[in-house]
Amino acid sequence: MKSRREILSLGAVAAFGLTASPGLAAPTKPQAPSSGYVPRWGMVIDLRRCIGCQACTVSCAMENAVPTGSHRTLVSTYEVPTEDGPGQAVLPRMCNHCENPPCIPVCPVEATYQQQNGIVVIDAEQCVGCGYCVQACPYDARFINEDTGVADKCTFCIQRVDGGLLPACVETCVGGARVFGDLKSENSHIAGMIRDHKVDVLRPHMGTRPQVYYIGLDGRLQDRVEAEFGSRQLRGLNVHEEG
Amino acid sequence: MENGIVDLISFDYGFAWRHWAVWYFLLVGAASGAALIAFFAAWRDENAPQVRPALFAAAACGFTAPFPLLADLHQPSRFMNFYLGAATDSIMWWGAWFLPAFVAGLAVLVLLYSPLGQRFHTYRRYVWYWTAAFALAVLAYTAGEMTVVTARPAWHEAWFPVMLTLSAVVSGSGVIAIVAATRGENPGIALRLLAVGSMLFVVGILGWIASGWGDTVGNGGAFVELAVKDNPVGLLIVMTGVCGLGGAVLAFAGTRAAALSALAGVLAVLGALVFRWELFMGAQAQPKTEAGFQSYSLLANSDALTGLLGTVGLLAVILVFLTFFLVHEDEGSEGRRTSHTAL
Repeated sequence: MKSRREILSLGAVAAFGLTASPGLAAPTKPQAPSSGYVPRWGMVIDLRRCIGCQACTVSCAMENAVPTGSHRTLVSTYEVPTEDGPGQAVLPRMCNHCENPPCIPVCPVEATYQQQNGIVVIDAEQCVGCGYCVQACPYDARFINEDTGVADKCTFCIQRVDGGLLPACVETCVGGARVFGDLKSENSHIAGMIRDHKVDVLRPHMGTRPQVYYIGLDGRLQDRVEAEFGSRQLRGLNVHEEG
Repeated sequence: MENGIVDLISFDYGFAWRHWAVWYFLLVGAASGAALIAFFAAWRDENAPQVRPALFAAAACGFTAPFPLLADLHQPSRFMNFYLGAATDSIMWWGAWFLPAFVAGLAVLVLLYSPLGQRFHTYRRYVWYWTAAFALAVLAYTAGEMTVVTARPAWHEAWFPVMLTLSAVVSGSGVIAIVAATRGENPGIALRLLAVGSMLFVVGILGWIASGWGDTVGNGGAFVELAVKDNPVGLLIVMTGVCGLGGAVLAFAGTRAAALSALAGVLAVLGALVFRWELFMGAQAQPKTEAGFQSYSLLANSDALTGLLGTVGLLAVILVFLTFFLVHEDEGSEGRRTSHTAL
């Protein structure tokens, strides 16, 4: 006969098994760096599972104290024409932690650099806020933080990853669309997803070799999106009206 | 392009390079251009009449330029970080060394051309070489640091560094024309350079537009989008043309009338300002993906206007300050009598 505690434990395991089944959430926790093995962190975003709820946007802002109006990640949402009429397309955007990051060589004070694990980071104490890296990033992933006056961007929540946790956006993704893990390890869930699916990256012609991969990416959103009108234009109209 | 895509949720960033960058690039470009013109004038005779107004113009712009540059840093108090490392891959890092070297050269030249420095005139030639070399380096780095940015298609075109450098020389000759006219001095070759350079500038703008006509933004059409399609930025390109052509005509006519040459100089500087505003602010408003920047208007932005007034005010103070050192050629003729030497 099982005790009440054992039954509750089994229930918890069963519940975890449901939510952590392959494809729903990232089952591989970041490996502690103390083991000596250096992973290559990356992300797969399965757009078939993204519902555009912006939970990632909010959790990122909370975790990293991103000022209001700025975003380290955001789910761009579009209305796109389909065979059945207008449809909705979503595209979570963030730093791509490129293999060939154009933001690094331009930095005049060596404040931005790439760790061995592939994460591109910024030394906020060293950065002079010249904005050169912001110009050089082809993904609009960087911005000048209004509170700190230095360049800012996604770090894959390095403070969490170094502690063995998942990035906040992955942790809170209700659809399990974001999968974070070690791209080098053949046994990792992320490597399997890349192996088993057709994946795309944003703006591949820029030669940056992004390490954020997308499953189900609409080709019309892969490069500069030529949106005809929409919220940006509406904001522009408001500016003109106010001005 | 009609593709039926509508953005439902998107966002705008503030500009990473603000209006200060425009003032800096305008001033440092004019300073470098004027310094090179002064160098070529001094090449034949270091006391030629046109050397003094050219040096005056170069020094005034050169001494003012670092201030808007510092203001454009979001952490200006950390500027020493430029000199505490060696980021040799970064063109901006090289520029951090070229600029003070150039300004220092100008400062020493001002002293050597002042009544106080007349007895050290034999050192002028070395300082001229130094200053001219770093003027070229400044022109190269300012154009280069932007041209290498592949993410900004309008900057990453072959026309960009050529036109930026050309407009720097034109604006430099414009400042010389203004200084010479107000001080009653001879602008020399500056006025001819202004006329020819302005015409070349207009031809270049038209050539740039023609070469990118019909192309997409990422394939040569970025400047066309800025210059023609984006309003009100498109209007600015018309102003650039008007300034260029007007400057050229007035410069030809102004060889006999100081007021006309001064007006030509003002138009040349205005053309360079408009060109930079369009290329710097307009290009930053061009979205790289879809998430884009807000449009940034000079006239509708109080920060930009006060920045302009502050920069002009600083320039005026430095101009007055320089009159104590670079005295009028009639007053400072002692050096001419003692040193009619070529470089």
